[in-house]
Formats: sequence, structure tokens, C-alpha cells
Amino acid sequence: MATKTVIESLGVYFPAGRLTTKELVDGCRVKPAVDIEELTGIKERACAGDETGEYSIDLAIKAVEKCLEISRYSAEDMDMVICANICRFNGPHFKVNYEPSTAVQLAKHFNFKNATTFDVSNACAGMFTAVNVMDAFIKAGVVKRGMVVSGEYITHLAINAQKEITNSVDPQFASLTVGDSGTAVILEASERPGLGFHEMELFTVAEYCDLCIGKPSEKGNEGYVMETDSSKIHAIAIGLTSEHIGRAVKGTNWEKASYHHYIMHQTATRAITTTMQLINNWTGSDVCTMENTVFNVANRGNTASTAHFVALWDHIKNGAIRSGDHILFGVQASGINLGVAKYTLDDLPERIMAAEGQRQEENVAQAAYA
Amino acid sequence: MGIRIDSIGISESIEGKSGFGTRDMIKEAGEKCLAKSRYTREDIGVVINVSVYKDHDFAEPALATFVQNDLGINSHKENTQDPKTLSFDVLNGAMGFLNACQLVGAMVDSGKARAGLVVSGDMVDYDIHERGSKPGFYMSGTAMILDSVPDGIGFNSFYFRKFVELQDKYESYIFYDNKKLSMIFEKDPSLERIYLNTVVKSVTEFITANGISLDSFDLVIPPQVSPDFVASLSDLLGLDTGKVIDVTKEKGDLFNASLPMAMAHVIDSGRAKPGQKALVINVASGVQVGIATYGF
Repeated sequence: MATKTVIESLGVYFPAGRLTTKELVDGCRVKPAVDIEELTGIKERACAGDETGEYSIDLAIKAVEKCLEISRYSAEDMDMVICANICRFNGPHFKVNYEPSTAVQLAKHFNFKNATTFDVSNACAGMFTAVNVMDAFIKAGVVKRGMVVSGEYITHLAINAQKEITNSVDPQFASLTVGDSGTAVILEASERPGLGFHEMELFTVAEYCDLCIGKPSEKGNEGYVMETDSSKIHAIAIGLTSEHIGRAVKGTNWEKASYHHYIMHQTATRAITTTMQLINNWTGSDVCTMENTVFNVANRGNTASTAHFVALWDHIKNGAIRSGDHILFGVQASGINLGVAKYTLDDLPERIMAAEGQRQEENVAQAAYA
Repeated sequence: MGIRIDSIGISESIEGKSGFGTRDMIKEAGEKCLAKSRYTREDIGVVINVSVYKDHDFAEPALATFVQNDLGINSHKENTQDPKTLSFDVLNGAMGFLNACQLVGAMVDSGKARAGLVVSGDMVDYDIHERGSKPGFYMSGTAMILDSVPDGIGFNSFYFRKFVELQDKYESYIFYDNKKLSMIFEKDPSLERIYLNTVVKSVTEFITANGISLDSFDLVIPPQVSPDFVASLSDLLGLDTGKVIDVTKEKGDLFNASLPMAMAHVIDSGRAKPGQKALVINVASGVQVGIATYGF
């Protein structure tokens, strides 16, 4: 029996701050030429930072806590921990930690004493790159079980964009779509037939590596900015993604719309619907429908490397994704990184719902007691 | 399966070259490495950058994607059936290179790649930072192509040990001080002594767990921190100094370039002969110690 990698646990955390697209656009010195909310479908997003006193590593810590609560395992059971957030803004004044790595800091916090630890950085493909790396270690027999975690505090990009956007087609407009979150998954080897990652392939179309750059502001503002050639990066990423996914599903069960859920990188509703149409054009069948395709940007925004797992979490919690369901993940990120992963869930949704139900009961009891 | 070094390229050209940065160093090292390799650019399925410090301090995309493009490694796609390469950064202080070597082995053994390229080009960009504390490491570019082979050749028996209770002994970060970006290196004055103690403890654990003796190694490749560090480590472990490799002279701490520069030295100079075995030791912030064996 071939070893497959399964998601044993999932924990997602959202900071308490909220920021609407309207607030962001109203605060821009120069307004965008298009209706950002209508174009992207993003109404609001969670946000961390100075107001909530939470930064990248804090979001990661909260996600790991939840992930371990739902898991059958403890921190000491992890053979490997990979941290995959894009930015390491871990304190006020945009403090970015270079050494030690975030994974090593998490090892101290949680006592991951038996785990090899390191960080992976690969833009919005960071978590899936780390999942791919963990899958390689599991298949190679080096690792039995490990954790991939990401704490994305990126809404500061939107705040600088408000100050720095100078014209209605400014490359910083994509910064108005981002949202904050922390996500952690435990992955482990499994021999159970039919479950886990069936296929996973990621690759980089590096000739377009300069289409989206996150870097320190060059206009005298504290913090980083993100400059994106949105139309070009979307055209290339969506074009190649539709072909990549089309080839992965054509002639298989995955070509049937009722067989799977489709979770692609959550950038904007229009980008997702365009990708759906091109996949369907490529395959000549209705692989993607409004029913089987996940749209999760409305209240989350683009949460970068955590986006796929935030969408999975939200759709498990709203009951749309259940135990035994099949999911096709489409990875798209600057770099340009693209990928496809086919996955079948075990009973993780039931365990998440049970844990969340218990948490709510405890919260209600605590509130009543108070 | 062992993780074999196929070829190594080194660039030490940064001194005296105005405007020569991370990507330039890595490109020069990468071209040398590819020229010596048995693999073509098409064969490289994974490109990993391990540089923690880079010019322009950009956070996105991964520096490895620029490296892939600069070296023309499957960077252009007409369609998704063309040969593919996945590029990303592995960041873990000076441990990144050894982590990445093990990672390439896993990618090859799991069928995700045929061979992998690991690069480093750590440098501090003082064009955008207020000149704060010095990094204390030698700026250079390195590149290493690895694959996976049987019969005891290459890296084997990786052992990574953490001493997280010593984490605050070394920290580096950037932050804004009155709208100026500053790079800070906070090192405990006794950091080298701390590194020595953790390495000795870890090596002792490693040889005990594997039932081997230090005498069984023909070469020992220690962390290339400084001549004093290498000499002290030899003393503490009771090593025959003739077996211990030191390429730090006039350079100081080689940081992520430690492993590739020491390996390039023993291979190019003929110090390492077929059938010989080396003990590879690394140390990094955290505090982390990494150990592996290498069969030539």
C-alpha cells in the first residue's frame, strides 16, 4: 500500500480587528478607477497589528494552539515543523525577525523538542510549498508526522497603499485586498486507502518573478509595500492554471462537477470565476460550477499563504465540506508559482466541528458563570 | 539512499565590486556549479535559496524564483507539460544549507525532482539600512547541485538538535527607528563558547546513538565560524587536527557558505578521496546543531 499524506488536524485563527473595503478605499488619497469591492467581492477582513497587539508570530501561535487542541497528538510527537508565512513582522515598528527562524521560536514556545524546524518562504504558495516539502519527507520515510504553520500579518500593506497610491491604476491597488490570519496543519503518513493527497505538483514560472514584489516602502513610510502588475500576473497564472488543472482532471472522476470541491487561491471573486470558465473551456466540461467552487473572500480577503486552509476551515464550519469529500486545490502565487493538489478528507471535518462545538459550550458556560 | 553533492560553485567576487549584490553572487556561483554538473538545467527540479540576508530586503517573491530565472532553469513555460522546477527559500540562520541538502534528498527520493540546486548569497544591504551593528559574516555566493544515490555515498544520518533555552543568545532583526530601517545583530559576547558547548554535546549524542567513534571518520568538517572556533572544537572533541577542515582564514564566519566552501575545498584540493567518510557539523542561531555523515 502506497504511503499518502493526510491532514490530521487543522487550526485557524483570526485576529479581532476588522477593516472594511469601504474604509480602506475611503482612506486612499487617490481613489481606484474601479469599484474594488464589486471587482473582488471582498467586504471586510480580519486585521492584526498595533491595535490588537498581535503580529505574525502571535497569529501563528494561536493557530498552532487550535491545531493541537483538535489533534490526537502533542507537540512532542512532531518530527518536523515548517513555518511558511511571507513576512516575519513580529513586533511594533515593523520589527522583522531574521534569526532565529520563526519555526525555532515556535519550537521554544510549544516544546517541539523532537522536530527538525525551519522556515519556508514562497509568497502566497508558502503553505502549499511547505505541505509539498512535508509530503516529500513523509514519502521518503524521513518524517512520520509534522506541522506546517503560517501567521500572516499583511494588512499593513493596505495601510501603506492608502498613503502611497498616486493614480487610479496604481500597482499597489492589490494591497487593498489582503487580510490577516493564522493557520496550522498537522500532516502525517497514512496507509488508509482512498484518503489523503493523491497527487500534488507545484512549479515556478520564474520568467515572471518580478510581477509582484513585497519590499520596504521607498516613499518614507514605515513598513512594507506590495507592487503588483495585477492584469499580467492574473492573465498568466489563470491561463496556465486552467491548463494544469484541466490536464489533472480530464478523463478522471475529478472531471465530474459533483465529485469534488474546488479551492483555488482566494484573491477575488472575478479572478476565481475567470479561472473556472477557462478550466471548463480547456476540459470541454463543467468541472467547476458555482456550487462546487469555494468563494471565501467576502469576509476574509486574500490571506496570502493561509488562504486555502482558511477556506477549508470556513467551509467545514458552515457544513459545505464534510468528511470523505474530495477537494481539488489550485495554487497560484507570485513567483509565479502554480500547483494542483487532489485530496480526499478523512473524518477531520467531524473532529473540527466537535472541537468547535465544545469550545462554544465552554465559552457559553464561562459567560454564564461570569 | 545518500544525498550526493554533484557539483559546487563559489563566488567570492563581492569585494571591491560596487553594485554587486546577492543575485550577482549567486548567479556567478550557479553558473560555475552548472558548468561542472552532470545534470543539465532541465534536470533541476527544485531550486532552494537559503540566504537569510539579501539586498533590497524584499519579502516576496522568494529569492529562489529570481535565481531560477537568472540561471534560466525551466523558467519559461509554453505549457504545463514543459520540464518543471519549483523554487522557494529555506530560512534557518546558518543551518539553512544543511536543511536544504536533506530536503533535496527527500524531494528526489519521493519522486518530486531528479536533482536540486541549493544556493546562498548572504549580504547586508547598507544602501537601505542605517549602518548599525556589523553582521560579522563573510559575504559570498555559493551553489551546490545534489541528487540521491545508493551505496553509502553522500549525506546520511542527519541529526538536528535544538537548545531553545539559549535562543536569546543571538537575535537579528530589522525595525524602523524614526522612519529609518535599521539592521540589528544582538550577540551574546560568549556566543562562540555557547556554540562550542552545544556542538560537543550534540556530537557526543550523535556518535553514542549511532554506535560509532570519531576515529572512524577520515575528515571532520566543522562549522566555519573562525580559526579559533575550529581549533577549540578540535581540542574539545579530541580530534586529530590533520583531519579537521578550516577554510575560515582571513574570512571569518562563513555563515551559510560554511558547508559548500568547506566541501569545495576538500573536493577540489583532493583532500577527500573516494571511499572516505566525513563528519559534517553545523551550528546556528536558535541554538541549533546539525550533524550528518558524508561518504565520498
